[in-house]
Amino acid sequence: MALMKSLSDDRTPTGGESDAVLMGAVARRDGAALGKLYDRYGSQLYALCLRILREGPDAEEVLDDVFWEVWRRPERYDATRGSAMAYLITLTRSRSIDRLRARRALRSTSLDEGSADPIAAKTPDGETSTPLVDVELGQRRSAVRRAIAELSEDQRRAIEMSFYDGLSHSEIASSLDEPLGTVKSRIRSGLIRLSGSLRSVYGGEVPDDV
Amino acid sequence: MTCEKRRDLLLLHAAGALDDPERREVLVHLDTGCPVCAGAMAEAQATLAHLPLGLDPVEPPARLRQRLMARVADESARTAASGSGGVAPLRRPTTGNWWRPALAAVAASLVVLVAGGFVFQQRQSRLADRISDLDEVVAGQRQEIQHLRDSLDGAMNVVARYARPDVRVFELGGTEHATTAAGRVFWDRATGTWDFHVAGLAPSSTDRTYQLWFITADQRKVSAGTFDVGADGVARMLEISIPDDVGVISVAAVTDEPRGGSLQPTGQIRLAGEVPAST
Repeated sequence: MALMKSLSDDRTPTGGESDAVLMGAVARRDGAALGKLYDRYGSQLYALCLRILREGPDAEEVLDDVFWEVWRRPERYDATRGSAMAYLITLTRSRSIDRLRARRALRSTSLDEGSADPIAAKTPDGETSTPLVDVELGQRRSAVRRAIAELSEDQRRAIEMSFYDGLSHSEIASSLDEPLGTVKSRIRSGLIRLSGSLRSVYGGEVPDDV
Repeated sequence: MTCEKRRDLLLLHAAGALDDPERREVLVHLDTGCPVCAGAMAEAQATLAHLPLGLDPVEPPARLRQRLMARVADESARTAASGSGGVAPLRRPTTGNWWRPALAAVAASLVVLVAGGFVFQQRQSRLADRISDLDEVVAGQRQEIQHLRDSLDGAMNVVARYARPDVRVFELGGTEHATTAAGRVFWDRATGTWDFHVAGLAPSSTDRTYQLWFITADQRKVSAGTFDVGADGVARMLEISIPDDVGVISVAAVTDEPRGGSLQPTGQIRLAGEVPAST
């Protein structure tokens, strides 16, 4: 299956350089390679930042931080532990959640220096979509959306509150006024279902030597 | 708990949904190197890493890419300017009367033989001195090893303390003034102390320092102490005592202050984080 073919091979089926090649080039201080990674994943990572932070300026700063981190510290990416895409997404989420926590803490105190109005999924330049740069990435997106659509509304909401809003299951239970066991069960069953659905997508990305 | 039953916890842990006691249990087990759970964790992380692909991509402003690539080009130029290169050209053999270089070689050999004996003695003396120097180095390294062993023992004690169920962990995120900074507090409820670890802060200058604050539910800001950051961007404050009369602490924050600290926050906020309820 085309989806089984990881972007870690030297060339993608459409002839573009693979993520592994680009990350290797970045490690050799090839700025153009960083630009290609930005073109390939920038819009997806920016969407992730906006989903978590819901504010354009914060999202822009985090996106910039992520790619600058990739440039400054390429040695932190370990190809044996997962794909470059997974690394970028994990780094972006981590930085976004950190910023979200700082903002939440400040807004609950008089130390708050003033904040932008939160705007749900703000799109600074009015654009909400971008032409797909990479066919394989587009196929993955379709597969992930199909998998998410198969979840129940409760499962999807619990997973999103955990993954995008940085809430623990007890915080989610409190927020939804639901029993803790119910929330844990929804997250667990939802993730199990997602794992099953997406295994064919990332099949080549889980390290064999763990 | 069997690894099969722990699989559910691993999914929740990968999603960041576990509370502290369960998260600690998972981390302790993963540290054992269990291959079954490591594999399950890798699969859970791969699943979650794909979750954001369900979001519609949003094109970032063009100036972000321009700014990033300009920084990359600038840094590359500075790195290239500080480097050195060039290869010494090979010397081509010269032509001429063959006996001249041969005579010169014989004469040179005689000089080498005469001087060789003297050089040999000098060399013996230098080797003896070198051995003496190396003995000192070895002695110094033995001391360093012992120091490292003592540090490791101390670190293991700290790890054991952090693994206790009555130690709560919460995180501080960097603000727009310290975008790469991140902090973590280990709150030992048994002793009423905080251990604070931070990374990614800009090094302290001679006239400025960083200050950690307890911020209470009624908005009082109580200093938890000052700290400096070195070139590596890392700092820690251990066993910070929480005053008995401070009340409920709702937020922890780090600000940039004049050297010596301030009675109340005056500088930019670099990190902040919500403090979990004590119960």
